[in-house]
Amino acid sequence: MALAYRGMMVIWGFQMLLMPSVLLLAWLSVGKSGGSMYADSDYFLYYLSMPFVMNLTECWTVYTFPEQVRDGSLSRTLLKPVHPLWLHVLENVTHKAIQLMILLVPLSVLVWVFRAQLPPLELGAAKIAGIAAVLALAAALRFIQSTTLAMTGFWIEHVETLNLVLNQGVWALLGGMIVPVETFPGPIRTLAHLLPYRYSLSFPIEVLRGGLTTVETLKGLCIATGWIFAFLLLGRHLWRRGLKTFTAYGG
Amino acid sequence: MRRHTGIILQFWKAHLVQALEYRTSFAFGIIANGLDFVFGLLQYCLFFTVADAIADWDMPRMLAFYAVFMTIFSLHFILLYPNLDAIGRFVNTGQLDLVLTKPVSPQALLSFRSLSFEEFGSLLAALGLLAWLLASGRIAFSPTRMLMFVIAIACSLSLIYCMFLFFMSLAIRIEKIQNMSELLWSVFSLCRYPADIYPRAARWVFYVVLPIAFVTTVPARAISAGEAPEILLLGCALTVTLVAASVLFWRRSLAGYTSAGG
Repeated sequence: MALAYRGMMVIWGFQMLLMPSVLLLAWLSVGKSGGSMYADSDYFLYYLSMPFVMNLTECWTVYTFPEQVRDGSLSRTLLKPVHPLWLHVLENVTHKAIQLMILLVPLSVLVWVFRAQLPPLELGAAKIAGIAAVLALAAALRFIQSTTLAMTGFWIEHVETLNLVLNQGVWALLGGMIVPVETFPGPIRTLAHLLPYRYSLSFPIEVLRGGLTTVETLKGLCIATGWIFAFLLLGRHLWRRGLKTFTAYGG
Repeated sequence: MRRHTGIILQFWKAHLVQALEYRTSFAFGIIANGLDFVFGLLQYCLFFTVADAIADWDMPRMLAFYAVFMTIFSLHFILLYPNLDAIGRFVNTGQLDLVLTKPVSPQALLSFRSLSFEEFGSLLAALGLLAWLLASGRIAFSPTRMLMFVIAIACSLSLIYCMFLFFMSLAIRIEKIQNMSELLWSVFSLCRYPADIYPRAARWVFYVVLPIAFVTTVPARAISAGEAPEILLLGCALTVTLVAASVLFWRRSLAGYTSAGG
């Protein structure tokens, strides 16, 4: 089914490359006031890794799930012998896998073109395993966080609007999209470290860059796992409460 | 012309009435949109904790840039976005045939049929920000700059409309591609920062071939520092050419339209 929308995927892949590239150029043209700990090469690494991370952590249940509630097609999936949310998980995984293949082609070209600008990276087996773990955690966190928000679709009409503010707006700001989290001023960085947003965007790239100590990385992993459990509990609660109010419009 | 304005106003009135049916949702949308504007503003504040200037645009000028960007972006959202969003459906369900049989200009009717009210919050906030920058003297006021700004904004809005009409025509030609609105969004991603950040070759492309520099950079520069007259002239010339080209492309696309299932 995912393959039926190839054209859209190419457009999405293009968009995913576009915004980080614009931001990269903005950062390269910036007159730095000495406050930034990132050199130009770090910005190259940061914004060339970003489309990859965004591709893996993207989640669209906030659009699809409330739609199922509105048009009543949720009732049909409720009858199936698997939990309806698993269908979303599977759809998400396959979609990302295919989209990744499309994205990897232009992304590898970009990395190859700018290979001289990238900082030297030490990639041992342990580090690659670490990055894979952090990425899996990032994808899980964003999926669970968005799906928990999607559960409010049982009660409210415009989940997209809520998503725009709670997810997209704050995520771009404190997740490290516009400004890398490591270069935030002190108190804002602490706040960003405590909130879940950093762990689904900036954190995997920070681990890749290798600027974090082992303690900092472990601390990050603990906070991210904590948020996953918190959202899981909240989401489960909302799902159960919501299902009781769900009447499959017109039913 | 007057007849068309009358018809479009009727459509807008119907939309307002419809939007006010769901008052909570209406208010909610406007508040969320206002918050979105604030987040955008905070992004620049955070940016300037690390940076002094983005390609020679300092903080007050960058704020003026943001105000100009949001003005144009929200106007596009209010007037054009819902229509571009709907065109795919019009083509795929055959509703377009019904529009074409009406004795009015299909371009006017399809371009301005619906209206989205949520972005009014952003529009007002953006104009407020610009007024505050001027009133507080952070951006010096001068009548010549103001005149340049008015010319540049007129070009900018016309260019956005050209791109919009181009994507509308494309949606009629290639029924398979939905979400043309997504493509217009990409154009806006390129306009989010001054065109000066791009490498020289890309900048040339953005001034002459794909004139997105005239969408936000030129109006923002006109009001914040003044723009070179030859750039404004180039902008006007490009605008006239592209308006003519996009209208022609639209007419040819409609002429080649074979109706749903035909």
